[in-house]
Amino acid sequence: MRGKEEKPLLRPGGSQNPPGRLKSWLKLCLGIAVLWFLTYVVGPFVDNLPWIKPAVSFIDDSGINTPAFYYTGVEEVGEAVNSIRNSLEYPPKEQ
Amino acid sequence: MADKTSTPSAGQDYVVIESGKTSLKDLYTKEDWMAIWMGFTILIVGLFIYLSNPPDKMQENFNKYNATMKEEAAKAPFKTIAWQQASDSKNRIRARDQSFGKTIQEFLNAPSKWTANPVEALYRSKAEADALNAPFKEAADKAKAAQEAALAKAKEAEKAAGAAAFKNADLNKKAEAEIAAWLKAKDAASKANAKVGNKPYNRLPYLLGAAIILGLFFGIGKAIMGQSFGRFFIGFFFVFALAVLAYMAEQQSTMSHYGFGFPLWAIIFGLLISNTVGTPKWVMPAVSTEYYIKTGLVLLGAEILFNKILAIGKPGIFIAWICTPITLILTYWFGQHIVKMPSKTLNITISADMSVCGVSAAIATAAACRAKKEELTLAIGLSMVFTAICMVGQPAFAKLVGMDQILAGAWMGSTIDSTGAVAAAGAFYGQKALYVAATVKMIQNILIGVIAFAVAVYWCAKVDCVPGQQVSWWEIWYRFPKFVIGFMLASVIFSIIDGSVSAEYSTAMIDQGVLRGWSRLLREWFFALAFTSIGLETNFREFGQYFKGGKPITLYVFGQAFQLCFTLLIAYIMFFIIFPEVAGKI
Repeated sequence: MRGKEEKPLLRPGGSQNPPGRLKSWLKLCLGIAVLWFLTYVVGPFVDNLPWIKPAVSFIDDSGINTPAFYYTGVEEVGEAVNSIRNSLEYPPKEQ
Repeated sequence: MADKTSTPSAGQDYVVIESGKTSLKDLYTKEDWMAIWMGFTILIVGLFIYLSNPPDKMQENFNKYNATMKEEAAKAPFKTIAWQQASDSKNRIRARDQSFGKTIQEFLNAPSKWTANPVEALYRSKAEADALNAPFKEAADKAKAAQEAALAKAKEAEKAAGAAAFKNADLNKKAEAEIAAWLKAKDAASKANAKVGNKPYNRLPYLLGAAIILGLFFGIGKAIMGQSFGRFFIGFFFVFALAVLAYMAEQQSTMSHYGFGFPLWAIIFGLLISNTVGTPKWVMPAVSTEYYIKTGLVLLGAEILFNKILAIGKPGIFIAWICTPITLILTYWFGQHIVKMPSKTLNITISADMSVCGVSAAIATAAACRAKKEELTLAIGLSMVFTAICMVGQPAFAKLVGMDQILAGAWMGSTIDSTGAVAAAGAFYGQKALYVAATVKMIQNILIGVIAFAVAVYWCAKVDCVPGQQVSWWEIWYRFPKFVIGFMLASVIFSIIDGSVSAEYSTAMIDQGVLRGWSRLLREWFFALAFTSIGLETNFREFGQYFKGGKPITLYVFGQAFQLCFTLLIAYIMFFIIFPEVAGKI
């Protein structure tokens, strides 16, 4: 099957002449270095700040998937909903 | 020599583009419709796989555990050991825990957690797994012994209370306290056990398999729409590899502490390539933001189960479904009239992501109002930064003022953007806080179906019109982003299925089967591919105009500050003045 006509490609990037291309690759390396610095230097430093450390240790111990953004990505939500449903459906008798 | 790379310009700006009039041909040539067919194909396959394979003796076990809880609840004025064990056993019945479910998850799960060496995310030898387990073995054994000792004490206390026919208040109180101590020891033992549960793995063959399957799946869709299958399939592996890297970054232990998820990393890695060496031209056919995002949104629709809004009774509805829309509308109004946001689509995307539930709300709203991809990126970035702050700050504040667990849970659940961060903040404060926070957040998650639909209709009928223009229903239909129909339809169909069976059955087979064991895993890959595509076709310079005057930050801070105060007030009124009996039962 012949493909539909392509949309015009975006502005050609990363200069095609050798010095420009080298500069592009240097920029990429610099970006990777910044990410490395954030992950291996800044992150651990923040983790060890006295007012952050308890929360970080707790997250590690609990194993909660903190980056999950929707309820189906978090195990604890299923557990919470079931437990609340059981509590509301079968509440202990009044004393 | 021909250019082999491309860097982005302002050419392809929109998250969702819908044009012109509708014809029958659109049904197989437009991405909106294709997303619906592809999304529903996945959902039908998932329903077939899971509904035809329920766990052994499922209904029999539900009946048994329900009978135990009923009997125990009638016997004592507290949740007895047998009640807790029955509840726990009932919660463990999940369709995705069967062998076929585990195989599916092996193919579709994200790479594993790692700390210093990224290879750990993809491969772990047996020796490495054993070395990881060894230091925690003794602690796990101790925690298990402590749990057994706590259970023995709890049994003894409950027996003593039972001997007095549960009429002695002091004995009841003691039994309740011992049961709580046992539950705590059980939780500690479970966490300690998880630390010695490291197993060897090799994720690479599964990821390669997933890449081939997803490449074929989307490639066939592209071919049906009249585009080149081959060119898409080849480029797809590059986009998929970047999506894997994004998942790996999310799983890095330090980054995961702050909830920086794959959407952020996918955009960052994409931007890094497209704005330095340029996106290779052979990759461009597979850079299809709209295609992936719309298919993912149709799958997300299935996760919007309307019956779940009753999960915590009336207070939950008031907190999540009254406070949230009020905050959303007020923030949008503030953005238009006070901050004077330069873009309505940016305003509504930030307002929705801040007031509803972060990334998922931002994706759904941005797609519904056709926001620019830079606007979606900005909204997600803001959400992730504020989520990290709130996740640490809100439980600390609650502790400082001695807030009640249920109140704190409702407050955190409704105001922290992402669900994972809500669970972490709630759990940090206490188990009741976790349960309430997670449940309120889930109810709020469901709201995005309504918000996305309302925004799509409002944009077609009002915002995209010349002032004073009357728009016909046909015109609204022409302009309406069609995939939203698939998104809503998936939600309605799954809500009907969910409502037509018992809550237990639905939890085990739909929530813990078709959704968490199938469509959610695929939906997350689709979003990862979409965000990678956004990065690969976005010019970093385009962001500058949106930051002028710090307007997005002002908007977010105002909305969040209002939501924090307003939700706290409403949660207090609901749980402690109007419906105190609900708080009492939890």
